[in-house]
Amino acid sequence: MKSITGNIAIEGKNIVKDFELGNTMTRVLKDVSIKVLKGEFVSIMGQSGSGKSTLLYILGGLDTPTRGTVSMNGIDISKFNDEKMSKIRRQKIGFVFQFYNLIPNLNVEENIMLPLLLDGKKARDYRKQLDEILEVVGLTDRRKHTPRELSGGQQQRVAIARALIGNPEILFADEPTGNLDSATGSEIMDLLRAINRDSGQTILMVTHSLEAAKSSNRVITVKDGMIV
Amino acid sequence: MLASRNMRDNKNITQNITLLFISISAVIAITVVGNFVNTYITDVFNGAELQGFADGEMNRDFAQQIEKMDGIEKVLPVYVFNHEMQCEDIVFSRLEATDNLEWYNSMLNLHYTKKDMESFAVSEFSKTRSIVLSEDCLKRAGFRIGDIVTLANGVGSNSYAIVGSFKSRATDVEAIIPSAYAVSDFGASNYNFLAYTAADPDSIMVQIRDLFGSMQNWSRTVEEFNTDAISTVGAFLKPMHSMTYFILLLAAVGIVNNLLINYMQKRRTIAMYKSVGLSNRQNIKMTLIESFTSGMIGSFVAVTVSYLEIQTIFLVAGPKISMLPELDFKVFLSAGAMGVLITLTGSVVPIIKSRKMKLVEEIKFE
Repeated sequence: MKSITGNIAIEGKNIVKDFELGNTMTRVLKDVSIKVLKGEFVSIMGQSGSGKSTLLYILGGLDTPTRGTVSMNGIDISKFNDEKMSKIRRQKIGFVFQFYNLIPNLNVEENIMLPLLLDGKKARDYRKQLDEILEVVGLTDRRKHTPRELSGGQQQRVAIARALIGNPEILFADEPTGNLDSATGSEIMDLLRAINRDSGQTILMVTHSLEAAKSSNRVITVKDGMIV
Repeated sequence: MLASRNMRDNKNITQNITLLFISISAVIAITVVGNFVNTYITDVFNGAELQGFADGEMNRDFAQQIEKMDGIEKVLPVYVFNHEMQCEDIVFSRLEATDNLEWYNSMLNLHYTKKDMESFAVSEFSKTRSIVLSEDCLKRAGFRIGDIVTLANGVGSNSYAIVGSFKSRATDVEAIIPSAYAVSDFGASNYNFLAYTAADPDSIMVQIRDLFGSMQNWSRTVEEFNTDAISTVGAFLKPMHSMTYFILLLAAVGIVNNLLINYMQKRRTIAMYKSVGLSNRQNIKMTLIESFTSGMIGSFVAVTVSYLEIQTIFLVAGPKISMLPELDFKVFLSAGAMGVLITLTGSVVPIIKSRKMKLVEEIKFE
């Protein structure tokens, strides 16, 4: 039992999420439970409004559940205060968004190093790590460019590098190819697959794309707020 | 580092710095110049011996009655020629004639251009047709000490030797000649001004006013003059000082508005920061550093420019006002501190809004 718990990267138990829309309360997630094992590449699929992104954001600590718990390494993080949750985001979690969410006035290097800088670490101590990750995402020659000087695919690579720089326990990706053309999307999926395969990085990804989901080891489908 | 990057090319921050610069420099200029005007006006008779004066038509008998009043110490009756005395190519705006230049000097605090000039002028006044000129007048007319000039007023004319030059804040007279020659050469008959010192200046003033009766005059003790001046200047300065609060209020509203706009434009960026681990505490620190820095820059520029501006004003106006302002650095520092305080206060609302921000709503859609 101990070994199974130790092998779980993240676990959501009986997660319920309600949204208030005007005077109406809408239940987006209905008692959802999910486990992702370390080293797994899991895709969450479902139609628009099914609750898949909400589930991802709750598991990733960007949103809080109305009910239920989210555990990372056996510790319930769903009730963490802002300070503790921010630390988790800097040290244990990497996030890749559909619209990249890079800071426009920081260059590629600075965007990638951001979680480390926010964690109080000195950039000069992480030069080697930065060089390696730039090599992995193929942006060594773009390190001084700002996001607006990069293509969509390149921006998403920067976002992936930023998500990985702190060696997170789990990488969350919310439709990472949703804003890219199919060729670039394939490149991004190849990159994610390689990262999972080569370094055993746990990845939990939300996608609409069956093609993208094929890269993962396991597919979870969410329908009407429930895993089916 | 992040705060400095956020400030770079940020138009709202630039606007805040500009607003601070304009408002703080206006506040400093109004306060410093206002305080200076107040000091300057009430300081007119500082160092002058006279304790009261009468301005009006007075005959010899009138002056003698004052001389006989109880407690009177010195009485200095003066003939006045306003815009009527021609001297070569110029007309003196005001020429006065006295029979006691020594008293005149002390009563109206005349500062002679050179050390020995005063005693020389006093000595010459009793012996010959001599004239002393204000430094401005001497410079304007291009005369030199020792020049012989011709005075004429339509009644008569004669040559006078320039025996001295002076500066004084207590009088705007351009030229002084001996009384005896004012009478013989230019037909002076009645005195027009009289200065006095007395044990009880107020009591003398009451008696002088009685002597004038219904005759037109403007007679004041120096104390009354200063009180009048403070009251008159205060009537102008009070609304100006009130305006400084209004200017600061406008600036504060503008700055708070800019900071709110800045927050609205940066909501997504703040959410991006938070999504990679920026805590509320770090966000507060970053926002306060931005506000403090823009406040400091705005205040520093305003204080520096105001200082230079005020120095320039007094450099240009210096020769006319013969008094330098006492720059109170507390005014500069408090104005600067107020600017920083406004920007820091203005960042409170963005900080509160950032804390309540719903991360997912901000970052999910572009």
